[in-house]
Amino acid sequence: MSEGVVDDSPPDARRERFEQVFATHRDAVLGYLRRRTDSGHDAADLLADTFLVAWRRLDDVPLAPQTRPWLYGVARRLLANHRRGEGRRHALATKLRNELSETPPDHQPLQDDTPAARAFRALPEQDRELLSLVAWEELDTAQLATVLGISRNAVRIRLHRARKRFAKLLTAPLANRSVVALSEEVSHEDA
Amino acid sequence: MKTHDIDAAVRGLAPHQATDRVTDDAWADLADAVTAAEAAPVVPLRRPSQHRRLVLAAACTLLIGGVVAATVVNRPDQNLPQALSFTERGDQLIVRVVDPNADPKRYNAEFKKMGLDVTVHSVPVSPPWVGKMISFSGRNEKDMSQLKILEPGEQCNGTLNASDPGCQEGVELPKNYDGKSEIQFGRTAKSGEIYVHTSSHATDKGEILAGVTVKNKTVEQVVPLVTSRGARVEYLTGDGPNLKPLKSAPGTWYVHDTSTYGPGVVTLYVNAAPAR
Repeated sequence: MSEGVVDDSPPDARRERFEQVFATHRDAVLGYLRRRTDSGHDAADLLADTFLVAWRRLDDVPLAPQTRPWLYGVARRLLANHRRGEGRRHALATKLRNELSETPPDHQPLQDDTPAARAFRALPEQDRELLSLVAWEELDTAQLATVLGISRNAVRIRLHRARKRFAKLLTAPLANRSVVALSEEVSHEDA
Repeated sequence: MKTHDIDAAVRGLAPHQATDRVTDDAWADLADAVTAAEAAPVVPLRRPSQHRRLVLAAACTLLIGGVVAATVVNRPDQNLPQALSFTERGDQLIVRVVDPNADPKRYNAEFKKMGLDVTVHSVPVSPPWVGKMISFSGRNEKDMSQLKILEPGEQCNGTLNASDPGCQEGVELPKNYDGKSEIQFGRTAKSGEIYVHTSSHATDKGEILAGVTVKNKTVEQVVPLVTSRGARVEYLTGDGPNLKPLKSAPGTWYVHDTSTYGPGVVTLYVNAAPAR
């Protein structure tokens, strides 16, 4: 199944453009994946897959400042597939895989028994994802819209709700936490 | 709570990693490999991992769920068990798995009636994947980009959440979808079938050895754990991509990993030496 994309630019120009995108954003994408995977091996494979998509869809890769969020968006979808057990392994990232430490991140505050960690863990995945993109990757509304493939308005609404839910969980008495998390309405206004 | 404080609290939860020191060589290798890879479009289908699984493993979750102000598309035979539910929402169509073991044949007729070139199949999968979307395909990136996976809980109507059967996995696509797509969701495997999708390890959540630790236990320790669960054992040995089957393994050998490719059988990856 070939895409049959018409591409007039000479191969060297495409390679050059890819190299530039790769050099500029590879560390950031690696960091994004590292913070969300348990092993350097998985992060390496997902990184390879991400840039493989970028190479094949080079014409779709937006210019700055949306390049990085676009790459995060690709990485995010690949990560979701990975979490469902895709376990795709290939030879593209062998050296990288070997160089990345085999151990998980050396400090994982998410797994602690602090109120913030407990509250965060109790959030729906969508909320956790949004809040982490804001706090760890420091993306703004427009960039979040690119990563998630939704409108800026939907970003604002979801973010507002996610922050509200997190705040509520943080301040709710221990016994009520699960009740609070489940009783929140799912948004209808996301468009 | 102020937004600033909320974000700060989340920031404090970021996993820390001693900075990865990646050599220029490793980066260069990757860039070379990526740009030399064959030019077929990336399709989020699971591919057989080189040695672990005999079958495709793809998991796109098909979420079909009722959405506020949605019109439910008429289905024939409303009294028969429904595999899927269809809901229209504006110019999108939302398809959810309701009963994974019911026959999806009639839905192919429905899609056809709507002028959509979408075919739905149910495929045998290991227990935790029953009811989940396993793969969807398109001819190219453009087809794929119009299909959106929905998580449990996503785009359900106000009272349904991720724990409701009517609000499970699904897919959203435009009503005027002009691509060609095949969608597979998981059903319970019958004896003798091979799983189209299974988890990475037989010890993963929901699988036959869920919760059991097997790494570096001996063969004679692990085999009873499998047989007491009503399954038989097969062996693979070797390392990396060079695995080969063994008729039997010495009880003192070590188990490195496990997987399951069909109901009633567990594969043990074994070696004379323990895994590092």
